Amino acid sequence: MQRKLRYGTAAIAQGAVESGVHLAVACPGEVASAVLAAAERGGLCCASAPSEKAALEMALGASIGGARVLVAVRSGGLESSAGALAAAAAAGATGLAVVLCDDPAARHAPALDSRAAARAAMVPVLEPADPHECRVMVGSALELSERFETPVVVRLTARLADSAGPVDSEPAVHTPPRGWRWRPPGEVPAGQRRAARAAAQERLAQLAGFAWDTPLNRMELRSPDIGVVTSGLLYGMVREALPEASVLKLGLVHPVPTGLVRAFGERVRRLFVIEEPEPFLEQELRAAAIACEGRDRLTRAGEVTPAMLRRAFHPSAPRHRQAAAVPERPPELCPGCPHRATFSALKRLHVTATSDQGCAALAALPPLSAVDRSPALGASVAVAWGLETVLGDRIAGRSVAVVGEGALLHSAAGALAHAAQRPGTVVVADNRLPGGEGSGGEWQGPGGGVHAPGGRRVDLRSLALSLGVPRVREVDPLDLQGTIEALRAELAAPQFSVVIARSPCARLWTDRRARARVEPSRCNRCGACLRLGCPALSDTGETMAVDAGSCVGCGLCGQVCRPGAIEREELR
Amino acid sequence: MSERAYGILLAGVGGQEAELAGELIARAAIEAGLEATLSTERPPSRHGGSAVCRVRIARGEIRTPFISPGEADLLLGLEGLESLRRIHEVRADGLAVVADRIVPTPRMRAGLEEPPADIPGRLRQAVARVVLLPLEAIFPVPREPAALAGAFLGVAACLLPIPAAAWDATAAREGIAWLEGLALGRRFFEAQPEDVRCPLAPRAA
Repeated sequence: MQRKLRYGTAAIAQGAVESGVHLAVACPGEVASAVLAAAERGGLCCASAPSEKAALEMALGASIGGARVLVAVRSGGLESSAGALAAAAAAGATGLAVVLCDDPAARHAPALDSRAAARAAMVPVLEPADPHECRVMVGSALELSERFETPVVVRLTARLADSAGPVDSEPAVHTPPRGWRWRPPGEVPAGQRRAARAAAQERLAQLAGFAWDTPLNRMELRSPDIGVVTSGLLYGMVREALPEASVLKLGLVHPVPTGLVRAFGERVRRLFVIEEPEPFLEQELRAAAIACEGRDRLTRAGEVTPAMLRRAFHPSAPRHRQAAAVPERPPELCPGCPHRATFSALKRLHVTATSDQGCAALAALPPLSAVDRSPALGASVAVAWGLETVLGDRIAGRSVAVVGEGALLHSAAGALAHAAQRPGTVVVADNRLPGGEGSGGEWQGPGGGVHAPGGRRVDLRSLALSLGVPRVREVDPLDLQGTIEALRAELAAPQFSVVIARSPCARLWTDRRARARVEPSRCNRCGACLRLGCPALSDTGETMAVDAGSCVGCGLCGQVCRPGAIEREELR
Repeated sequence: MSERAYGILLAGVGGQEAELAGELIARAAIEAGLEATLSTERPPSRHGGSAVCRVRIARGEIRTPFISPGEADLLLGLEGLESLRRIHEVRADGLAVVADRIVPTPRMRAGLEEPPADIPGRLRQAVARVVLLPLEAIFPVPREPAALAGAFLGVAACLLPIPAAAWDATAAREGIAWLEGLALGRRFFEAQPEDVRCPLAPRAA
């Protein structure tokens, strides 16, 4: 048996390989991309999906065909595709594991609690405590799915996905798909839905019985003074902060094993629930008339930290030292990022910009400060439509929605078809890297990635025209003046228009052919180049300077330098 | 099984390979038959933001990959400002080995704010032992981030109970730059005074 250091996401993929998963599906983005990249490296058949809903439905089809399937979903993805999960549950999908990642600290996504979405879909939830359990619980989820004929959610948190530990490995199990499995409904749709709900309730009742003695849940009896019910990564944190406490570690967190918790509660004097981000277990236990203490002791909602546990249970312990006041270092757009050029053009036109999430949202930060709002993935077109509807002439010709090509295919195409019925402007930021922040270029989807089915790219111009957009034009955002003129013309146009700003993501610039060079004698330190927010540029106090190591030679800074002090230097 | 663990904190800026350096420390520990965990806060650091990696190493079970504030034994600071941001996570009697460079933040580059004054002095106020790692002296010719990060592996190699062979094998698998950095960092730290080089004392895991 070989032990290797693995992140939670890689351990999930390893578990899928070892459990004989036939197909892994995901919509690219942060944790989902990391799981898929690792699964692909492990030799699994992987498929990209334009949205989480599509991913779940593709997986349902494969499940009906008798395959074992893994679906990876980004933070918040389950909430936006809850109907598809409920449909998979109603169809009695088997061999279907859904891996998702909540972000209790809201570092990269809203701090949603997907256990609530899984409860609404009447689907069981497993929660691994470390990378080793990530690997093991994929197999457990698939077995449960086949035994109880339901999709099973494996819930990670961002900290577990970004934690690594030693993980054992087992030989992969290669089993052929079990074959076509289809039961004719035999009833009208309403009857089917009622029957499916009754079946789901019956499944949950059976799972509640299973939860009583499954090794997925573990009672560790130590001191009877304090008993803690917890799950996931918090289990280790509780063990370290409260080494004497009795612990009920839940691996199966939905349906909540209330019988087991009640039995545990009878053996301890005070029962605590430690969970994040929401008091999901606590509310379920209170509903079952089990007295417990929970989030009120820590914090109302959000991420639980070791310091928080220490303060809550050891109030007399010495306080931790306070962090020094240090200037923030937020993430920023990479050198050469075409988004920087696109948003620089929009800023010069003094428009109000509604942006997509992911990298583009970084343009909101100073010194670029070019994004006014970035509500959610794929939401910019619809949000801008609502804004323009209410404000009318006050904003006409001065509002732009910016959407990435991946987000357009994910969930904005319908809104674009609707918006195209009246004047307005949408910029599609086509950087050939759907998945945005966190996808890291490791694994790309149908918007234009190297792994697109059959190597094809979606023709965004044809897509926009077919959605009824009357005016479509393409620009290279790194031609700043050309982009400004194109945008000015489209903002003034009487019809709806789409501007496709097409230039590859800076991470795809593997062949550096030029870099910027400052001629100090011509530099008057006006600061125009610095306002682009490029990490390669700085002010030495005497002149502006270019960091040769990070400059990729995009040429944008030279275009904003009025004295002409920044030149583009060919490297060969 | 022992329940004593070492807590190592790596702080830097996205792109400086702080996370991969932490991963290599953990891999070297596992190669040497120890337990190791690490935790990072990865995605923002890919875009030049703060990067942090927390590594724990022990002979026995490690319950959680997290290190509570004030309980890290060693800070490997690949950049001064980020080291100051994390210094409160180090024990007062701990050790901080910090690169003598500052990478300005976006607001600093735009002239909107100034870097903090006297970073080495503030680090010394917080922990007992602070060693500044002179990058230009160690690397007279500019090198890639992996080589610079590798120098911090060399420092860790002098302080942690992991055989040299495990360090060399782990660094070599990642590439020649890591191996070169490892050797240079080790040479630098072995030349430090005895009281600086004294081994770390592990804490409860």
